[in-house]
Amino acid sequence: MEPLDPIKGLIKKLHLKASVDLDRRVHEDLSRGSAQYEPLKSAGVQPAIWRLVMKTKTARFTIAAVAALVVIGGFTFWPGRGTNGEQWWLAPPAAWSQEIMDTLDTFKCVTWRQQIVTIEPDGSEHTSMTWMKCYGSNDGNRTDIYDGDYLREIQWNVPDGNDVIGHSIRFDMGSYFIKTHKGMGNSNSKRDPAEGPRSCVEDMEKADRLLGTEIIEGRECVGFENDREDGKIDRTWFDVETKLPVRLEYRNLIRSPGSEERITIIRDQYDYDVDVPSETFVPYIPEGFISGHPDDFKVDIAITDEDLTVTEQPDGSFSVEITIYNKSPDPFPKFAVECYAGDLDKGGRFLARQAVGPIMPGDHVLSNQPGLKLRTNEKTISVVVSSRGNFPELNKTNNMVSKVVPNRQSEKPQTSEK
Amino acid sequence: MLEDKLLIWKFNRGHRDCLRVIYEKYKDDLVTLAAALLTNVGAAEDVVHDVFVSFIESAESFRLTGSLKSYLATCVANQARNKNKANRRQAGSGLEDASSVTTHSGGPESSAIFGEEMRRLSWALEQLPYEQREVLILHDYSGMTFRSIAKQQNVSINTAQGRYRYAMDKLRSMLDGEVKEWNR
Repeated sequence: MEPLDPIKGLIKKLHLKASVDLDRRVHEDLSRGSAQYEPLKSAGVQPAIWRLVMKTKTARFTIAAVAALVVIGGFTFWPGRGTNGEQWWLAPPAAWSQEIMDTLDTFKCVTWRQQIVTIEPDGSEHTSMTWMKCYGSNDGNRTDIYDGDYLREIQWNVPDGNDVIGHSIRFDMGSYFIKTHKGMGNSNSKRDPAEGPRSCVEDMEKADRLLGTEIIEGRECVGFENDREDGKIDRTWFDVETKLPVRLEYRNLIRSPGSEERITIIRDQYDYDVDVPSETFVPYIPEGFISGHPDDFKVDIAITDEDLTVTEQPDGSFSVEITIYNKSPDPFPKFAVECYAGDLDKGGRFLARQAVGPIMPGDHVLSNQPGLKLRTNEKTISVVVSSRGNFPELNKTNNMVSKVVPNRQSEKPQTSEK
Repeated sequence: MLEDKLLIWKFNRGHRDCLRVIYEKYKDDLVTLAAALLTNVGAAEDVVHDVFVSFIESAESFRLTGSLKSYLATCVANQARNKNKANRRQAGSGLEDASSVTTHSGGPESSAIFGEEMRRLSWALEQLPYEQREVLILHDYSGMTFRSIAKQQNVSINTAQGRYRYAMDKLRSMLDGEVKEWNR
């Protein structure tokens, strides 16, 4: 072995002792720091898990059995902060995650909300108008998709042996379709209604950061953060009292040439062991809905000037009546008839929208929209029919007509189709 | 190292008290490192203090990964570099000002010898440009690789290695005879 260079040896022997003054300064700051980051204390309410699980007869029976085990077997399990009010989340996850897993095992049905928040490059956040109410149960799952308050679609996934049958009904299109997902099922096992929360609890062993406590949905929650590949981050917020996950956040970074978009999928409003009617998970087809996948529809919706009638009402408002034709070989499920004041080429002013449909191939329907009010300088009413991007339009030249309203002839008539 | 992994694990899960354990375990090494870089014991203690204060302040938003010892050394080196820039024109008091200088060697005789060595080494280190001194100390005292040091100094590995060679040559020219005599 080569002898150590004398100068290197000397450097390695360098040794100073930290002074008493430094010890005092650092320890004082550490004490102040620990106090500052002390997580919030709970108001000390009854464990909500008790309220949650007592909702069903089965759960009540299970709890009774567990209570018997506690008495007879001396088990020390009890959800919540514990008799000493200790911050259970500071203990190694292995010490408490199994307890949560066991609790999740007892639930037959779980519901939650899912929505997407987009973070723009300027830092502003936008929550999508579209959101989902999700139902998870042992027998299948269901997702209700809303645009704001409007229920747009319901999707079911029903296990069928080793397959899963996917059903969908579209209220905005008046259509439905059914698809078999081969090999996606498992006839030997029940579905897990709390799959998402369970997955997050499993990840706690690898949590990278403790986020401290926050009030979420009126409850004191403690958050953990996991780093994923490609800049993705998962966050899980646990109710301090029940220890159950109440909010899951999946932060994604979507890169495309020249741009970078951050979106976060948020699952919240969890309701554990909710009692929902069994028919919730049974797919149905509303009367009049037509079969077809949205991607397969090809439409040619047509309107003409001759079929547009504008009538002034005694109260000064106007009514619009127009006949809409389906010239395509496919049924046309649902579409929007929109009325505008003024010249659409100059922007127009939105007046009203009506959902119409379905129309069978070669057939037509009549749309009537009363109560349209024009301003004194507005002399034209335009009508536009549109699938609002839901279907590919075969002919885009026959979707708009305009008419000059009676007694307002000073504006140049606009009757050309577009 | 297992103890360090446990400390990191606890810190990342919000156990702020483990900072005390980390401080107690590494305080002497960190003060020595900072003192060797700044050749000023008072400033060195300020640096170590500042590093732990920043830990406390940012504990919610950062996490420890990798080697705890290397991480702490990097933090001290960064803080010392900033302090050196700020106080470049201020005269340092030098290691010889430290009343608590000790060595790993035992016995009053060797303490006396290494005390003299420390004074000479302190003087010689003070003569080096800061960047060269930093590479030398981080490599030979803290055991950091040239790659890590180069990354810290924002220079190429060749530059870091070059600075190290210059530093060693200068130290040898200043100390070599005396060091040989001390080690005889």
